[in-house]
Amino acid sequence: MSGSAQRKGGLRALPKKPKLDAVRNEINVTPLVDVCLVLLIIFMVITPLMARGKDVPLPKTELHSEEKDKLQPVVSIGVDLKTKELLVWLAGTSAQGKQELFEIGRLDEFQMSQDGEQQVMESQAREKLRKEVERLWEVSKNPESKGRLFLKVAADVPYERVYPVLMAVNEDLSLTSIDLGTADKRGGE
Amino acid sequence: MGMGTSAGPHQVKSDINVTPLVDVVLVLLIIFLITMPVVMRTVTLEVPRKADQDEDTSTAAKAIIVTHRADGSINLADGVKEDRTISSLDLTKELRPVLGQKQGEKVVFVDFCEGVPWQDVVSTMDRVRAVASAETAPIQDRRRAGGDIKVALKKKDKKSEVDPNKPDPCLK
Repeated sequence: MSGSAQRKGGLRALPKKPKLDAVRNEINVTPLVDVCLVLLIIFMVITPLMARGKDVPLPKTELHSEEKDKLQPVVSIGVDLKTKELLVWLAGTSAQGKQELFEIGRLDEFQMSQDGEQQVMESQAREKLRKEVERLWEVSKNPESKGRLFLKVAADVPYERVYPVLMAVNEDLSLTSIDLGTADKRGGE
Repeated sequence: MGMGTSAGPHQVKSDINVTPLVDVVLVLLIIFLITMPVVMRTVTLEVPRKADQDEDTSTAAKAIIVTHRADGSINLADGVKEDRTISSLDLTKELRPVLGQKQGEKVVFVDFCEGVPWQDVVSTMDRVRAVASAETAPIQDRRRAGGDIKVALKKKDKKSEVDPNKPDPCLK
């Protein structure tokens, strides 16, 4: 406003000034830049949120399938940064559509019996995992999530520590298959 | 601004008004972001349907069982030839003829000995899936083809069911 008034005044005072001077002939990029910055921030915020469940360093594979997220519960096994202990977490989508993440317990609580009968020992963590996964399936809005579980295990956890969890979910939740989370060998999760 | 008659040609703004364009693009972007399916990279592991449902012994004898040892070597039991020890890097090569002869559903059982890190567990499954396609095929095709092979979890034998005549594949 004030600019145009000034220009008007200026033109009146100096009538011989070339008219082209008053016309800015470049594109105003300021709004474009604003929008780009906003987009950048949106992407920066959303990208880490897209990987559901507790973030653990996943093993790398080449020939994984790239599947659409079916909103199945996510079980993560990894080292807790504070206590340096191996923990089990569960993540899922609540009835309100909110993301939930909670701790199930220590990985030690999932153990095979010592008598060689290959039974998973009963424990609070096992019971909690069964109850919570069943609850998440119950409240899930996506019917495809039922009967499915996504398992994210840190790359350095030995197999014999994970095996009781595999057996426990198999027995308690009668799964037919488990989706194992992996990262792309060429970078990116 | 807009003082009627005083509006001369110098008051015409020559820049394109990008604001509505930008608004539309932003809204479109947000719509796409929301509807965009989140891609999850997975390797699917088949698990025995029921813990106490034991596999039929006749099919179990013919099943392909890959046992990964802690030292990185693999014991391959295909039920046709004798069990053999191979390097984990040769798994795809060794498994290809074995699986090629197999009729019907292609299932490979995987088992891992104590101390095998999870990275190797998943890498072995990755190598089994690689059998389905030629190494030179485009990566997307290879990924799709890999889904045709079912990788199944081999349950650890109960002590009472261990065949005393069969050597433990975890012990060389």
